[in-house]
Amino acid sequence: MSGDKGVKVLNRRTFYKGDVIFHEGDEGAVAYVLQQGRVRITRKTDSGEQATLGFVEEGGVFGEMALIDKSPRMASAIADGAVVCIAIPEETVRAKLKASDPVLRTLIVMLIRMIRTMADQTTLPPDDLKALAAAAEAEAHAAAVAAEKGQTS
Amino acid sequence: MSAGGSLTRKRFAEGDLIFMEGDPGDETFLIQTGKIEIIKRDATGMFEPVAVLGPGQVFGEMALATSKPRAAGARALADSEVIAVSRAQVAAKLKDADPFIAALFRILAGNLEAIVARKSKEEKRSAAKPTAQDLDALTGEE
Repeated sequence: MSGDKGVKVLNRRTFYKGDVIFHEGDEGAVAYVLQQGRVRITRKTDSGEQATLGFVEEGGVFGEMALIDKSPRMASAIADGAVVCIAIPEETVRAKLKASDPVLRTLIVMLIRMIRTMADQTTLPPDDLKALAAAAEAEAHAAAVAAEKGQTS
Repeated sequence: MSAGGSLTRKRFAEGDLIFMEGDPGDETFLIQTGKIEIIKRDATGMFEPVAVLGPGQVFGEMALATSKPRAAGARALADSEVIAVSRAQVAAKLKDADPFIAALFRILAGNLEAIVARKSKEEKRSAAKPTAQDLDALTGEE
């Protein structure tokens, strides 16, 4: 692979549960496509607590907003278990955007602006750690039941 | 002509209502010239201005993310020219787009929809939320 000009190496990255993929406020240099696992997107509340904005599931893209509008990361991304993602460098995203339909491009930039504005206007409840633990437990239980069913049938 | 058809340019005169809150929303508008006011009805049914937008800005964009009725209305504050993009046109463009760009677009639209849903839930809750004193009185604590 060394010296092969023009060969595109997929930039695959692995993270483990609790790893911070990027921090809120960081400068963003890459966007990610999630190949495996789940990523939690969190944001600091006014009182400094972490609040979950949402989750990125397999096939999802995250971390793209900071690249496109050159603002700091709006939220942190944390691996919610083992995670494999592909890092897409800024130049690639910019080149793809530049080559895309101008209306789509305008709409993408506008969607990002809207999301940032709305996120700033929304007061998020801080994460209820007990509820999160209970949800994780219920999920694990459901998986165990499903696995058991699979075995017996 | 592509599946979605060509974009439509529309002109509005000062005072024209472009759409009303509650209308079915299919189009997103890119402002070329003029001034557009976004309006919502308050509790008494009166129009309340939410934002004033100008050239280069976009309105009606929630139609990209959802087929729900318009959450706000829009009217022209001055003679204005806008480009209207329908959901079908966006879908046609996405079909031809680079898969990364198409995925990006869908994710952003989904995120916007989620955050808007969350925000309106939050607003409803805080409107109905009892005060800390109310809670203290109810629980008899502290």
